[in-house]
This record gives sequence, structure tokens and C-alpha cells, in this order.
Amino acid sequence: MKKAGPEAWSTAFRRLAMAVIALCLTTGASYMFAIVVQSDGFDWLDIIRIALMAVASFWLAWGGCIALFGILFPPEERSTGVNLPEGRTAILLPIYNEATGPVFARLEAIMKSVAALPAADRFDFFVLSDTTKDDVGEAEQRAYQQLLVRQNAGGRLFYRRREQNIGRKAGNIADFLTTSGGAYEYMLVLDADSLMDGKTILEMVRRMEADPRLGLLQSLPQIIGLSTLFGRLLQFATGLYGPYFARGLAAVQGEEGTFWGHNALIRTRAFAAACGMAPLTGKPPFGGHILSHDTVEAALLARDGWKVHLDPDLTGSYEEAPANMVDYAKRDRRWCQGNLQHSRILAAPRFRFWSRISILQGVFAYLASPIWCVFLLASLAAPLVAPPPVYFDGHSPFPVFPHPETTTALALLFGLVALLILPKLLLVARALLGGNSADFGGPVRLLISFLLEILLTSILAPIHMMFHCRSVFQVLTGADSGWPTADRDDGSLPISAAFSATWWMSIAGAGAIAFSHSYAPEMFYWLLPVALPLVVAPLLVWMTASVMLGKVTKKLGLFQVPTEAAPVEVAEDMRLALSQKAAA
Amino acid sequence: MTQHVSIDHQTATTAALFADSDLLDEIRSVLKRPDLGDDVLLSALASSPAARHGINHVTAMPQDRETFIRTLPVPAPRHGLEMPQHDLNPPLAVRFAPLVALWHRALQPLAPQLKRVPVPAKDR
Repeated sequence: MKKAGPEAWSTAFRRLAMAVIALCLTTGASYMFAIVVQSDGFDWLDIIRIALMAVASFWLAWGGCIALFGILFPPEERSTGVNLPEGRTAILLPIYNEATGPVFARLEAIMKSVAALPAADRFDFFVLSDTTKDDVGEAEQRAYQQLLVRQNAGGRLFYRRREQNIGRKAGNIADFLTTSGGAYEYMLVLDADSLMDGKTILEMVRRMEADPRLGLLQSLPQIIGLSTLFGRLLQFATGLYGPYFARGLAAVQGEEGTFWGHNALIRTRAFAAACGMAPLTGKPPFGGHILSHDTVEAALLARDGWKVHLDPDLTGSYEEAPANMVDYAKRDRRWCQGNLQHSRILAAPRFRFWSRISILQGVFAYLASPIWCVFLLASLAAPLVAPPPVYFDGHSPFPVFPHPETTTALALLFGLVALLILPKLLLVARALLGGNSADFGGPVRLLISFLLEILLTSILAPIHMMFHCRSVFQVLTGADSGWPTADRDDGSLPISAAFSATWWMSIAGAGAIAFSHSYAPEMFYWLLPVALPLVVAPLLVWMTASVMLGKVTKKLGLFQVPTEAAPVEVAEDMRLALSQKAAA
Repeated sequence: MTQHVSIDHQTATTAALFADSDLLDEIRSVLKRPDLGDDVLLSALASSPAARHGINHVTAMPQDRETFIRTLPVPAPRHGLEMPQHDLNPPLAVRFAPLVALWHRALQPLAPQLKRVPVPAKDR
């Protein structure tokens, strides 16, 4: 049996510490909530509410701990050389009915960046098309031919299109491995919206070659290229908090790290031997091909003794993200199905303990919203089933009045809000004191952006919660009511699309307010912060998808991110390639 | 750039044009792909926009020839890996098979000798 090294021990200690802190916070919150709810008598609904509160607050505490550990534990130094890589690397770009122009412009920018490396001949590029639409497929063929000529990339750039996209992206990668994987030691898996700097790719290969047990190396992609208000908000939040959350994750994950499905370097032979997945028995959503395969692939590599590392210091890795809440919800709907399907493989043979925890985290990322929603509904119903107060309990000749628990209730509320805000506040304080506030527009703009971000995310949180609840409901019932089509290039949404996606939230919010007003007046003001954003959800979704509001914040220097302060070369090259294509 | 390549406008088929020339070996050498067969290369040449009109491979300058070669859409190397399919949700019988085997192995030395006594010996 392999003896655990000091790194493994320190990882184990961090995991234990995180679990203890999260459990202590959960116990405290649950205890306080129990005191509050028993003030008007104790009934069966209170037990359900306390249980729901315990689960939800554990999830909050867990997230807070990850950020805290990101501050406490800087990433470990990785030993790499300056030698040229010996192994060959295949850079894979799996695509599926994507907009051809931007996809090939990104690829051209990456190729240009890699071509400037001293070891450029060690890298080949593969466009792995699963496109089902013939017109898009023909456009891809043309773009491939043009790129081949422009980059003189014959023998280094390959294009192949599968007739049937069996197994989706995982099947696409598997098809590459079973036809050409043996010719390469490593493969860098990208997404259609990925961008990576050549130097980062080279550094990843060096780290892989320096550690023969390293099976997968995940970089930290930064979100770029969004211009709507929602997009800029997302960019700012991930740019400011993302690195520390990733550091926190890396600190507790250790060698059983994470794989986000793209912008990661993988040892091909290890992946081929470990990561083939048989479809699950039964029909979708819980049977069939395994969706959200990345988490499972990381677990499979770890199961076979390979290290899986998330290195947050690997910058120069970029991706785009949904520019509005509806597109964000659509993506979440896909991920939700995949993550809930993972509940069937939680007990897969030989998985490492932490891999199971990671899978469970993925499941909970989507179950947390329904848990909060049921908690709210139970709280609305609680006054209806509460027993009437008993002033004369038979033990005392004098009336016994219920003990007011307002202080405890407020302490609990502030505690939960602190769990949400405190980690972010710490990260802002660190940016202000650490001197990198200039990357975010300077101290004043950073502070204003932070306050606006807290305000906006708090207002938008109930809408996200409802989208998640709908996704979980649809997965569990096998239903899909469809989404409005509003594929604008700039990510903005017409008001009709926003209304079509969220009208049901307005009804739910208005119904909750009316119910509370009539039957549970003591809950009325508690409910407003959740119900009011739901009532005006169509307006909020439409406004946050506004490019004009995004431009205003940019002009004011709000929600600025480091990639705006110092433009990214590979992104500039991509824009140039795209404009050249448009001109041609 | 391909526009520097000397192009002659013969309409002869690609195969007839290049089959007996050194160009195919040159392509293999430039692309460092000795695995590419003649038929594969001829097919790549035929699908190349420049090669459809033919290339004067005798008079073209070496750097032009190399540039031309580097625009050829050759197929990826064929070297597939085995990718076994792992069952992540096996039935209980399979899941507990190692435990059952371990149990049987543990019982084996402890269990009494269950050999049946032959009938004649029992009679005696």
C-alpha cells in the first residue's frame, strides 16, 4: 500500500478542518432556528423546517469555508523545468452546431499563440465536429480549408466530422482517442468558447512532464468578452472571487481535484484506460449516456491512482459565458440533468472518498434551490398549523406568555447573510490591502462595484432559485417546456423573450405575497425580499441583458476586471481574425 | 503563401500528375508523416484547392513547394487506443462479488473437512 506523504496529510487535515467548521456553523444555525420556531409551540412542520434549514445552511457554510481556505492556503509551487516538452500534444476543439466564424477565429488565435512557442512543432490541432446541421458542417469545412492555408498548418491541423454524435462530447473525445489518441502523450481539451495562451499551454505540458503521476491538470478559465450588464456582473464576480474559490477548492481537493470539461491538459493513455464509461441502465434522465462527464472522468482517473490537479495559478486560460439570465438558465438546465444523474454513480466501485464528495457537491448545487424553496413554503404554511398559545399549562396559577425570540431570529438572519457576504468582503479587503485594486478600477470603483454586485446578486438570487427549481422538477418528471429563442449575437434579450421565460415567476411571487398577506401576515415582510424580485422578474431579466447598461457600467469603470485593464493578446488576435473573416 | 506557387493549368487528374513524382515522398518528409500512403496523399492533393489545377512540381521553388505542402488537408495519424467501458453502476451481485469471494476464501481454512466418508468405510 502506498504510504501517504506530507501533502496527503495536509490535505486530509484541511478537509477535516473544513468539515468541522461547516458542521459547527450548521449546528449553531439549526439550534438558533429551533429556538425561534418553538417559540409558538412545536409541531411536525417545525421538524421539517429545521432539517431543511440545517441542509441549506451547511451548503452555505461549505461555500464560505472554500473562500476562507482560498485566502488561508496559497497554491503550492509546482516544480517545472524550462526544457522543451518531449511528448506531443493534441489540442482538441470539440464543436456542435456552433457559430463557425467565432469558433475558427478562436482557434486561429490559439494557433498563432502556439506558433510563437519554441516547441510549436510538438502541438497539433483537431477540430472534432459533431455538427448535425449540414449547412453548418459545410461552413466548418470551408473555414477549415481557409485556416489551413492561412496558417500553413497542413499535417498539424485536422478536421473530422462524426455522422452521429453518440455519447455527445465524451463520445466525441472517445472517438478521437480510439482513432488517433495513441499518437499523442497529452491532449488539451477545449470548449467551443475556449481561448488559451500558448505560454500557458506550454507551462501545463511542462508541469505534466515534471510529474509522471499527474493525469489531469485543470487551469482556471477567466470569463471574458461579455458586454451585457449580467455578463459584466458575472465577469467581475468570477474575476474577483473566482481565483480564491479555486484556491480553496484546490486546497481541500489535493490529488483528487476537479475537471471542468475544458481548458485542461490530460494524459491520453491514462484517460483512455480509465475514463471509458458504459451507459447507465434505463432511460434518460437518470439512465443512458452519462452527462456532465467531466466530474466523473476526474473521479475515474483518481480511482486508477492518477493525480488530478486544479492549478489556480495557471492564468492565460479564458472562456466565454452566457450573457443573460435565460441563457444561463438554459446551460444550468443541461448541467442539472447531468449532475442529478450522478446520484446513480455516487456508490460506484473503488471511487475515492473525496471524488464521491465532489459528485455529491455537484448534486447539491442543484438541490439547494428546491430545498430553500420548500423551506420558504413550509415557513409560509407554519403559522396555519401552529397550535394556539397555551397561557395556562396547569403547572402555574399564573398565565405563561410565549417567550419572544426576536433577538435570536435576527441573529440567525444576520449570521446567514454574513455567511454569504463575509467571504466576499474578505476578498475585497484583501484586494484593497494587497494593492491589486487597480486591476478592478481602483479602490473606490472596486468598493462601489462590490456593493452593486452584492445588491444585484441578492435581487437576482430568487430568480436563479426558481430557474433551478424548474430544472430539477423537469428532470424528475422528464418534462421540458422549452425555451424562448432569442439568439442575439450581443447577448441581449427582447422583453418578449424575458417575459416568456419568467411569467410564471411573476405569478408565483404575486401569489406568495397575496397568500402571506391573507393567511400568514407575520411572514409578510420576511417574504418580500424573495417575492418582489419574482414579481418583476421579466423586467429584471430584460434589464440585466441590456448591452446599453453594460456599456454604462464600463464607461463608469464599474465591474472592471484585470483582463480589461491589461488586454489579453490572444483575445485581441481572435477579434482581429474575426474582423478579417467578416471583411472577407 | 499559395499564390507564390507555380501553378500550371492542366486539367489532368491529380493521380496521373503526381503518382510517379518525388512530391509524395517530399510531402511525407516535410510533414514528418511517413505513415501517409500514396493513395491518402493523392486524395489530399485532389481535395487541395491549389492542387486541383495541378502544380508544376519540377520548376516550383523549394520554399514554395514546402508552403504548398503545408496547406494540404492530410488526415490525422491513425493510432487508436483501447478505451474499455467501465460500468459505474453494476448490479449488486457484481458489486459484492469480491466480498463474497473474500468470504469464501476466509471460510475455507476454518471450515471442517466436509469430505463424505465412503460407504464401505462407514459400514466397517
